[in-house]
Amino acid sequence: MNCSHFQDQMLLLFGQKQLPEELHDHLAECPSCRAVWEELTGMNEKLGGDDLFFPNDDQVEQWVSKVDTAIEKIERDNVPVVTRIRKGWYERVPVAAAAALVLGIAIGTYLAGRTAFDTGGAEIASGITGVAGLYEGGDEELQESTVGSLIYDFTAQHSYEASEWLLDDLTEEELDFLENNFDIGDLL
Amino acid sequence: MGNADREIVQYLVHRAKKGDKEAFSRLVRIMMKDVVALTFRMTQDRDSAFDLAQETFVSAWQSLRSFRQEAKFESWLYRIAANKALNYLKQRSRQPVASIDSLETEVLVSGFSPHNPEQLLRAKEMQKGVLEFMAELPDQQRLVFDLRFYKELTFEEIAKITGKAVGTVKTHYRQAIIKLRAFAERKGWRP
Repeated sequence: MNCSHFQDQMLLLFGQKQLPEELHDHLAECPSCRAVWEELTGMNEKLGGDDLFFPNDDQVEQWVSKVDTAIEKIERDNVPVVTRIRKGWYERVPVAAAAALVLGIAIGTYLAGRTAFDTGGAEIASGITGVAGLYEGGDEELQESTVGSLIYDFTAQHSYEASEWLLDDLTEEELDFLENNFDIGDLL
Repeated sequence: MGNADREIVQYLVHRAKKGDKEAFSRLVRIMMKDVVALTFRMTQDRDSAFDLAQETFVSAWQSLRSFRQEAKFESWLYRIAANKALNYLKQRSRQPVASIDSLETEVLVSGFSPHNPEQLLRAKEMQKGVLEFMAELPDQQRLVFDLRFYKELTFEEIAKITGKAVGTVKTHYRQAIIKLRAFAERKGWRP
């Protein structure tokens, strides 16, 4: 290997503490390559380390607390739909009403053959009933939260946030079902 | 990051993946400096650096379940931070570029420095030099230079973070060092 190869290698090794043995040996016997390496090492010192750019502890604490607050807010905004469904039957009434409304509009639109209401609505509506069917005889709580979350997403004008965590919890079989029955990409 | 720290981080990630917010908060405390240092060098703007770091951690919390623990948590976090910084730079590129004078002011008021007056002065000078050099690099080159030189990642790790081929990453780094040599010549850094 010639000097130009070693010097190219040195560029890639800039900032590294350990050199490959063959380069080390070459530097010991080649003054011109050694000069290049010394030049690079000199620049190395001018750049300092990662910690040169670290914020101080007060700033870190301040921003850790901002992150905590932001996460709390996200959790607050996401949780209510599920917890509300699990709390008591009386709190399911609005969800049931929303479900009836969505299904009614979807069926009405389908029967009327109108295009104003996009076909995604009908697909989601049938998906909702389909997903509910998946859990028949199974975990009632999961069935309710599944349907509730999908309805929540749909009625929240396609914001679909709740379905993100929901899809995380679904098994492959359940995901297959969703993919086969309506547009998952749209849901997310 | 040392082995002991890595073990603590692994444990905290394990807890946080199960929804333990306290564990995630400790992770944020451990990793905040690393992330801010990266976003600050990338954006060269203190406020944006902290904003992007905050966004990084919030996104990390939201997608923590998709993180596979066989990967390094900090690399995963850097990927999120890098994407946020690159998006920010893309948006900012439509606005006028800050002059070196305003850059200097940025460094002086940043608080990214030790408290000893002599060290403080030296640190500010070094920061200024580094930021001035990094401002000359295109965004991707700057990111690769940062991850390699400051975060001491391998080219393979950087390739995963940036979504580029290893060869491309090496080319970026090589070009950055060639530019650094020219910059050092101009600044009288070379011995």
